[in-house]
Amino acid sequence: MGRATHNMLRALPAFVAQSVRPFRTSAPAFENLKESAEPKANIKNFKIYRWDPETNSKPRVQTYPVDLNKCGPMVLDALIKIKNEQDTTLTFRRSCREGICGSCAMNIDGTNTLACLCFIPKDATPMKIYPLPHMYIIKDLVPDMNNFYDQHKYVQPWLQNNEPAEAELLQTKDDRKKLDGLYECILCACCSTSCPSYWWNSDKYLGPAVLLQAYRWIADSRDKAKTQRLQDLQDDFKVYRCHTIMNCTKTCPKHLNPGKAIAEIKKEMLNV
Amino acid sequence: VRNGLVCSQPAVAPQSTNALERFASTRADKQAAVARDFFEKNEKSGRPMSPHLTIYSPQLTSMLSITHRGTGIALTCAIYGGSIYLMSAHHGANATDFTTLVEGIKAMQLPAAVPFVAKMAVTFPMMFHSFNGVRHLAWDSGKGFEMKKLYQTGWVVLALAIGTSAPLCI
Repeated sequence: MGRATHNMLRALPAFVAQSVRPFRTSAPAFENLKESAEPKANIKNFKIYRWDPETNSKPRVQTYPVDLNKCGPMVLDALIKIKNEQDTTLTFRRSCREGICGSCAMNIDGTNTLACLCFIPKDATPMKIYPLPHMYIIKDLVPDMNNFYDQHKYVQPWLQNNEPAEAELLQTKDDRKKLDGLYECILCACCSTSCPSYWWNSDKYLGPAVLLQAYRWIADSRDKAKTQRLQDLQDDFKVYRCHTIMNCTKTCPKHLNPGKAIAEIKKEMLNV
Repeated sequence: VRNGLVCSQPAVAPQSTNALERFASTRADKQAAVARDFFEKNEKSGRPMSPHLTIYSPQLTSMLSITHRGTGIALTCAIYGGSIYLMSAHHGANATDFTTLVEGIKAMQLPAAVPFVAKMAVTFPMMFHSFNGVRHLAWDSGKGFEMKKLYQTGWVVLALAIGTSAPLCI
């Protein structure tokens, strides 16, 4: 539309309000209604880990007060609100806001979860937000995920089947059921970074997320590289640093069970 | 010569003739090299490590697991230490047998809590480690991994451990 029309349309709400004004009563009843309709502020403090790579300072915790009545229900809503209104330098990863991309994984009140799926409790206790534990921090809540991705690459997370086939590779319903609880992983790294064993050995231990994916391909009936996949895991560290601590299953925001998958891998390894 | 033993094999690790096997070991080495580079780069960059033990909330999963490790260490120390003590001390002129030792402790007239705690310090690790050991064996066969089962078996193990050790120590 033309600029003149656009400007006129922008002025429309004020114009309408002006013309409607004579009909608004200033009766006391109306005033009282208006006041009680305005909710009291419900302030909650968010204590967020901050670190700026451009200064020589140490990491610190900064407190941000947020009115929960003017904020969406999830922790991610609060983070975005803080970034918009209070501190634009607050840095964090986010994308889908619906718990499917895995970007906003962080440690909230002591547990690893997705900020977009974590409801903010309505009470007044401060909420502590930290990055995923035992990861090198690029800035604020953003960890360096490259080691995690390299480990994922190592288990070759793709179908390997070079047998000549004239038609589709069929899979029974039972075989497909074996992949339930494995394929849904969004690689958010909540589980791996909740594992104390992965904290101490992230260079050599693959961690629950990657091992869940390794098992996803080991368990796939269409994949023909099972022996090779199991042999790739054959040393003291890649699988066997798992001591069934089970923090992984407790923390998975998608309700998957990496601990069980690792146990199944260990059982398969007996036959290699 | 390797490890002080003379052998006819060359000092280099034998290369497999199977191409697939050779490629596999190289892949693991490549991954190890990539991981090393990652850690070197990050250490040099001065980036901080995000907090872990200080901020992660204690849960039944991790607490029972560390208790299993701790009680295992405690039991090892107790068995070795106790055995060494019993074998070495109190021989010859100072010979004491177990009954005399116990009588001596009784004579000290310690408040009731002290021998209770001391006895619990040996009995609880024994009981807890044994019951949790059974839970571990179930895990090795692939059973009991659902969240609900983990918590149920965890509380049962803790209750059994306290329930079987406390009455014995009073």
